[in-house]
Amino acid sequence: MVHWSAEEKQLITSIWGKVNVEECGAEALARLLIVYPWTQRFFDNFGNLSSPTAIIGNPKVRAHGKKVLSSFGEAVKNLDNIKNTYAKLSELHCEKLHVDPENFRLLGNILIIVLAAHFTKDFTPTCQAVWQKLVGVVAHALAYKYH
Amino acid sequence: MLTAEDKKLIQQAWEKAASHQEEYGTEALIRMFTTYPQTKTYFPHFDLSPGSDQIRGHGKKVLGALGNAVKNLDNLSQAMSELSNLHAYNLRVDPVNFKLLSQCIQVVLAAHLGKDYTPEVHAAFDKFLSAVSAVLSEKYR
Repeated sequence: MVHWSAEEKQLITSIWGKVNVEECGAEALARLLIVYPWTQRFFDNFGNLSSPTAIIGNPKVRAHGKKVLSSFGEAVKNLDNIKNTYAKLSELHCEKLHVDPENFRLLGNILIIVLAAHFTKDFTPTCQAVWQKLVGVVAHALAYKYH
Repeated sequence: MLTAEDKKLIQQAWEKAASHQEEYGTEALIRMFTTYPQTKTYFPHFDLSPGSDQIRGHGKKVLGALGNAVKNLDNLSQAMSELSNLHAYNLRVDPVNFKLLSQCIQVVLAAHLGKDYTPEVHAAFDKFLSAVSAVLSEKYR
């Protein structure tokens, strides 16, 4: 089980409390598809992904980004039990979606950059460290049930 | 491969960073040491406490080298040849760490440029830092 100090939990919940999940999720997913275009391989049915503008404006990208980041909120609510929280999603990503877990790490890093751009100097080095730890734990949990 | 458009975006973004090399370099290193403590193993000879002159000096050096790379986007390998040798034969920093520092440099840029760190700039810069990392590791073996 991952250990979180009281300070770490505080940094996570205080940032999360100010995140607009819909906006942030849409932004993070759009950036993933733009910065690492090969990730588009999972979204053939999303329609127009032909340019950054198209991706950012794509309603399916926005909706899916919101879904993904909402799910991330479950980790924030269950910091002491992240592995179990994501057990079913892990199986889904392996058995149905066939997503290489490397993609979880890529998205995690992108999320950090989105948070930095949004919170600017409030996203201190300590904040970044805690959030990188969190995205790492989530990525690990999502890969845990792979077989 | 860096396209003409990438190069333009990189140069434009760098204009905003150029006068803050020491500040941004220092911040990137501090973020790296805080977030990825294993990176400190390469600096046993440094004072890593807050406000350290050595970190400031080194941050300025690293960003200065990146600035030089930005001026030489068409021949990175040649422009960074000495640094490439240094990393291969003297420093021998495991290349996985270039990704960690790249992430922290991007976080610094995002934190200071805010929404000016657009998805397009982000993509171009990510490619640029990957290219620099590749050049730094190209003589390793």
